[in-house]
Amino acid sequence: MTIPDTSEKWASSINEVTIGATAEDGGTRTSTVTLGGAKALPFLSFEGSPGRPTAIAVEIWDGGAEAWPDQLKDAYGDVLSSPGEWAKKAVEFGAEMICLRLMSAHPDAGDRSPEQCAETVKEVLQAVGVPLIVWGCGVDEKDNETLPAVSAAAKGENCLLGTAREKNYRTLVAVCQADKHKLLAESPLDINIAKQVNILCTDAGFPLEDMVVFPTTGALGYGIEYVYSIQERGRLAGLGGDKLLAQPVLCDVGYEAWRAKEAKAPPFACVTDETRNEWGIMWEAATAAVLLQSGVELLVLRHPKAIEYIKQTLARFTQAAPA
Amino acid sequence: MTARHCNILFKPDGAGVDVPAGTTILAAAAKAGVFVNSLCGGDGVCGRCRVIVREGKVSGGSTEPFTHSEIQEGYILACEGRVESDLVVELPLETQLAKAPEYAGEEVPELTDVSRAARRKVPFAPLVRKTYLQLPPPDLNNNVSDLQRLELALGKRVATEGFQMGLKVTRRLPEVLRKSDWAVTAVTGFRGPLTEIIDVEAGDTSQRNMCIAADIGTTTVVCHLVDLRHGQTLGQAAKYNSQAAYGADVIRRIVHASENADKGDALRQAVIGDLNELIHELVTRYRLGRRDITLIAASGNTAMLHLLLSLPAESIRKEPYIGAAYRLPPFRAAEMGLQINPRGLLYCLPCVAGFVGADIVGGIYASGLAQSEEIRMLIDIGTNGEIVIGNRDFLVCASASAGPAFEGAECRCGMRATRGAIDHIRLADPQHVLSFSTISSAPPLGLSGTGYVDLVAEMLRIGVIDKTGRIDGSLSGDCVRHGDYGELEYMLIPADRAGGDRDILITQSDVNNILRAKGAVYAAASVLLKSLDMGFNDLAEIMVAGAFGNFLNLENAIFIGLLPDIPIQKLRFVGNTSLAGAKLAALSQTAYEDIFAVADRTTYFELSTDPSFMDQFVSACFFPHTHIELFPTVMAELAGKRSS
Repeated sequence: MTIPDTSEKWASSINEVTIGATAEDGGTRTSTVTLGGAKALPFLSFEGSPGRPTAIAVEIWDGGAEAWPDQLKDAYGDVLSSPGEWAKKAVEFGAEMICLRLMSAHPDAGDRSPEQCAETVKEVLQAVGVPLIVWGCGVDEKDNETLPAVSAAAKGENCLLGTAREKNYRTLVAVCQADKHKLLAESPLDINIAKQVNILCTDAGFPLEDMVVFPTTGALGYGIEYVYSIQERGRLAGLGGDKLLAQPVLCDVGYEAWRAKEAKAPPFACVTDETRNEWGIMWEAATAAVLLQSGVELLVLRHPKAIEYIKQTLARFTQAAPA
Repeated sequence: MTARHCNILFKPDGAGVDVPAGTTILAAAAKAGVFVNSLCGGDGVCGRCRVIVREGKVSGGSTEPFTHSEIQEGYILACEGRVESDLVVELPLETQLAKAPEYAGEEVPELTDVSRAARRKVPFAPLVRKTYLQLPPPDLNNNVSDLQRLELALGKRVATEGFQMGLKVTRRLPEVLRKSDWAVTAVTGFRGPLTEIIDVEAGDTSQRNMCIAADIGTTTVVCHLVDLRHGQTLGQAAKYNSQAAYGADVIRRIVHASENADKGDALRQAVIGDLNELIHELVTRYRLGRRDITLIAASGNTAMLHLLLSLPAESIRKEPYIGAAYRLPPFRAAEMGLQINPRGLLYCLPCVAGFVGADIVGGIYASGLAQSEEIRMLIDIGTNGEIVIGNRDFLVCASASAGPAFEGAECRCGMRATRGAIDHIRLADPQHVLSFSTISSAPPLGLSGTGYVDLVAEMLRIGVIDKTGRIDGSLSGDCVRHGDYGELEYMLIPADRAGGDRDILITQSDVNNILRAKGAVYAAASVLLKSLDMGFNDLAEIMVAGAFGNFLNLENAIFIGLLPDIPIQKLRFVGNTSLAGAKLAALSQTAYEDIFAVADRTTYFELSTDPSFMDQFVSACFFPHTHIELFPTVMAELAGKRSS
């Protein structure tokens, strides 16, 4: 008896988006990263091409990292006060991209000027050769001042700039279009709004093919099942032919995982001095490993050991099955 | 010597005129081109031409029609007051409103075509009839009782299995018969197999038999005055439901009514007051007496009918949403406080469930859906949006709360589809209105539901709002501006060009209200279709009913995603079908019974238990829809706009 072929056949694929520009393309990056291309659900390579491997970006801040948990501070040492040095260290730890978060642009966290933010971006671009993600501080009015300056400073580098949101997308769309950057579109754990933001950005003239989406991430124990199902629904729709949900997905794992008390100071009886520092790493790695199953093109991580674990996991998942 | 001339200024129109002293204000108004309502034409009888003399001296005029405070204020009948000096005369709202009869959402002409298409014959036999009888006087050979004499004569004229008569009428019967020399008019009411002789009037009164067909909506109450002799609609009147003071939606009203007996009664009083006001307006306009109205046929949602009848409504709002009664016999209208013939009957159309009321049941019947061969959909857009899918074999219905935005309520410049309401608007660019029209071509006072549909579609077309409905703040200027509380608003017509004293505008919250309302309606329709494993394209036709007035721009309704993007010829606006149902019931005993049969075979589909509803709702809360591929013609139009 022959077993019938029950594999799913998908109508469409996830868009391929390249971040970074080498000298050839008018930038100064020494490497670029291409995301997407999947023609099947993650790791089901027998159903279709899995596309590009999930890329790992490492998160750095332009200030305020003093507040980071000790486990992270210990791992990075004294580079945390210098974005350029920090970025170099992150690349040593395996970062394929740097995710620079402009925390100190926030009016309550330093309120650095757009010009100062642009200087930081230049500093990071000079320090490393990998592509750059630049993330605003999340305050609409401030981002609308900061991101245009950042975009101009990084012109030609084909960065990924974020985030465009349902309520604030026009400015970022305009500058990304003018300076030829890729756009990161954010939605609040809602598949409808995810699609709506994409529609709004395309209505404002931005090409769908140049977008990456951030559907909001939740850590293990903090709604990860919900995140998972939202991302999976988006992926099913995208593979099923919905062009407005066929963008590569970014997961902000480090930021979310390290907010969990279980990561910073695990409140369990079984925690010993030996294992205490492992919890955060494992929380970050576990969050990432779970979300990978829903289809993720770009993971933003923090701890070098978590990066290592995830790279191993990815290698194992994508290994050719024994003949 | 020439007569002394006085200058009369009429407010709010601002028209002035010079007339000789001694002229009546009514005549002066006519000369000034200001319309003062007067039914009697100046005989001082109708009491409609009430005006207020703000400045100057007048002579004459009876004080009888006015209260003490009105006299103090300067009220006078325009036909009686004579000009003695220069005057400033103000027309109070009621006198102006009467200028053109209020528009009340007549059922549109096509509705009759539906009936025709369904090859439906509705025999004309009103629920309450008047029959003039000349009875043979009794003698020793013909010595049956007075009642039997009446019944024998009536039995030949009114097909029935039997009569019943109340004690009060029976007590009066011998006197009425004898005083009128055995020529009487029997007023009979349909009560299923039996017929009630509800009154016996002396002489021939059969020429005066009127009915009120009422649609008691959560937001709007509409009454039609119908002549029961031949079924012709004489006129209509409408107003917002005064219960709104106790909450805009039925839930809040039920909560209020359930607190204690007084509060429950306040809600009943509010709607009874509205009905009486509308009845009074119609009776006065057509110079009838209250006695001439023998029947009220009422339609409305389940909660509204419960509150009308003072039935406990508390359990309607709680799962599993059970009403006290859905099928009710006729009641004495006077028992509810309705001011018609004291013996007149109130017939309520039947309900199906806590949130599927008589309004939709009447609509299913009136629209012809229940007799349709093909599968059609009826969308009734009111404060609750109701969706029915079916044909002569099955009927399923769902209900979703849409809010009162499409009735023009709860929006800053919203108003009912009445005189001065903008019902059509086109924008040239974000700074300019290209054209607009108002009901009765009066100066614009606000926006009707239809106006909002048009306006939102136009704002979307020219980019004043994006697909989430957000007003583009970068367009800031005279039109797009920050209003009170810092909210963005879009000004259409400045106060100096409007009929009122305020700018006509739409606020961000108004757009959001429209977005949510249309989202609820579309989502309910989608979920109900899905539950039948159907799509919009499987429907032979979609009929759209609602309190939009007599007009809805279907293209724009599609453009904002209120209605699905299907060929326009498969969409039809059918007007107020709830009212049409009530009217058909009033005019035809067969229709009345058929409507009960429709209620019996309508299946209610509870959306709140359907897990996909919320998802469908959120995806429909986007212009035209998150799944824009469902609206290909809208996308094509928007794409064309962008490239041009």
